[in-house]
Order: sequence, then structure tokens, then C-alpha cells
Amino acid sequence: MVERTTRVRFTHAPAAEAGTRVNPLGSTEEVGNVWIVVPAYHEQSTIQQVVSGLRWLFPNIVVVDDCSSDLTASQARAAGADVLRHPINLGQGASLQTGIDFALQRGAGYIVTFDADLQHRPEDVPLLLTALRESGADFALGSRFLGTAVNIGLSRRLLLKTAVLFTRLTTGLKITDAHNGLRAMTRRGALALRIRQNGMAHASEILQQIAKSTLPYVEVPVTVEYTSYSMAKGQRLSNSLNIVLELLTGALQR
Amino acid sequence: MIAQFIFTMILIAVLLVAFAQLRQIPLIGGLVVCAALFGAYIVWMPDHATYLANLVGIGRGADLILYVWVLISSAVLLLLYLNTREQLQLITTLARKMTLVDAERGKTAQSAPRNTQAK
Repeated sequence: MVERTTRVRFTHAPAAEAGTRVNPLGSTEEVGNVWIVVPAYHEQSTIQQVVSGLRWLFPNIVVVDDCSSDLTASQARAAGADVLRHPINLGQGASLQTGIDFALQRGAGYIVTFDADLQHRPEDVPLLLTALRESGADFALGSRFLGTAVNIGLSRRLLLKTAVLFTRLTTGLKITDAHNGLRAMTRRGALALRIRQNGMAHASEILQQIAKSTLPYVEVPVTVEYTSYSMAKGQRLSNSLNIVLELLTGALQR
Repeated sequence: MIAQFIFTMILIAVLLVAFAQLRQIPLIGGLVVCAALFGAYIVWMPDHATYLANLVGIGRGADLILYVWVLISSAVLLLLYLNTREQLQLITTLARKMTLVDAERGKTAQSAPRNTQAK
């Protein structure tokens, strides 16, 4: 029986041998058991690089194109990902749930969510999966505040810290990062989630559902790198009020 | 008296619409029915509005009506918003199902034999 919450420090993934795919989990069978879900909307300039970076480590990548009007879907497909396409624009939360459902249908044993704007590093994924395996937890949550947040501005840091405080108060989870799109889960963990928040409030909703499920979780230090591109795509201060409102109205619906 | 009749006709129309919606959206329908009945009561018994207002510590009957109207309107707006969210949830479920079915079809098409016309 594992303690419900643990913070672990896995600092490096197994090194790659020249010309071979890195096998972060020790066996080919287990790597094939992992599905990476990448929600994407208008990411034609980054999606190919994101998928290529992940494909070096994992064969199963599903990009959920949220009805982009650019070349996101074709670029992702060209890079070797399975591509799902929403018929209408629904939001990142909806895309994640679609990707998770798809991965579960394909028999995934582990599911990883990964943002499409190049702010995450593929080499952090094996750390999350190793943390899941070694701790016996069902969720491994990436934390930029245990790891590194490159080029994070003061206002964003404050906003994220406020979100952490809000999440700690509302869920009781002892976490250090609340809105990190890099997370891994076991099949059992994925089955315990049902994301109903289509918009950006899904990150808080996922944490609420993790708290409600009482399944064990760990936090893992990861690197999040802010670029002008990811900053432009990311959350703004004004959106945080919307997120709180969405969570409140979501709670009224249940 | 003319104003009372006009208001009553309008409130009866509102009541009919609210009754029709009662089954689909019971909370909103119920609130609108209550508001319409309360309105009709006040239209015909304006003195009672002042009496009720004094009873709950409000000076004038008109103020009481205004406060109740604001409350009911806000509640109806909130419920309509929740109803819209519920509809969006249904649309999301449908869109997701379509996406996953399309993905499954794509997989089947890829794995299906190519010479299906040979018969």
C-alpha cells in the first residue's frame, strides 16, 4: 500500500544508444503500452516537432485536433501520430478526454497528457512513468515548481501559485503545481477521470477528480519552458476568473 | 383598470409558455410560473405589496417588487446558463462519439482488403 501522496525526484531517463529508440521503461512491451495524448488547436508551427520528439521515445501518440483551420492535423499525421479531429471546436479539456477515451479503447496501460506548444520536454515523460511504476501511484503530476520553469514571468508565477493555493484549499491535495499539462496516469487512473470542463478549467477539474477518487498520486519535477509562442497561447490573468466561474457553475450542475 | 387587464393578459401568456416548458426545464419553468402568479397577485392587490414590504422591513411595495424581480431574473439567467452548459455537454459527447467512430472507420478502411471490387 503506497502512501497517497509522494514527491519523488527522478532526475534522468535511461540514456539512448546511438541509432536506437530510447526505451525508457525497460521493455518494448511496456513502451507499446503507453499512449501519449496531445491536444492541439492551431499548432501547425510546433506540432511536427512535438510529435517527432515524442516518437523517438514512444510509438503511440494520438494528437486530438480540436477543429483547427490550419495544417495541424496533416502535420501531426506526417510526423507519425494518430490524429483524431473534432468536428467542431470544443476546447482543450474536451480534446484531452477524447484522446484518453481513444487510448483506453486501444488498450493503453499508461496514458500521458502532453501540451502541443513545445513547453514540455519529451525526456520528462519517462520520469513520470518511472515514478508511476516505482511508487505504485495512479497519477504522476508534473511540477514546474519542483523542477524548472524557464523564462517564467513574475505575474505568471504569482497566478500559478494562487491556483495552487486554490486547489489545495478546494481539494486537499498537497501539490505544488496546479495547471501543468504534463501528467501521466495508469489505466485505472484514466478510468477514474471524466473531464466535463471543456475549457481551461479542466486542469483544476482533473485535480478535483483525483482527490475524489482517493487514488494515490505523486508529483514529479519537470521542466516547463516559456517561449513567446507558448506565452501567447497560454493562460492570461483575465482567464483565471473565467476558470473559477466555470468550476463554480460546473459544481452547480452536479 | 385598463393597465391591470393588459398586465394580466401578458402574465397569462407568460404562464402558458412557462407551463409548456415545465417538463423540459422544470426549475426555470417553475420559477417563471411563481413570478407570473406573484405578479398577477400584486397587479390586482397593489395594497398587499406595501403590506408585504413593510412585513419584511422594506419601505415601499414598489421596492419589494423590484427586489423580487431582480432575484427571479438572476435565478432564471443562471438556470438558463446551466441549461446551455448541459446542452454543450451533450454536443461534446456527440462530437466525441463522432470523432472516435471516424477514427475506428479510418482504421477499418486502412486494414480492409483493397480489391473489394473483384466479384
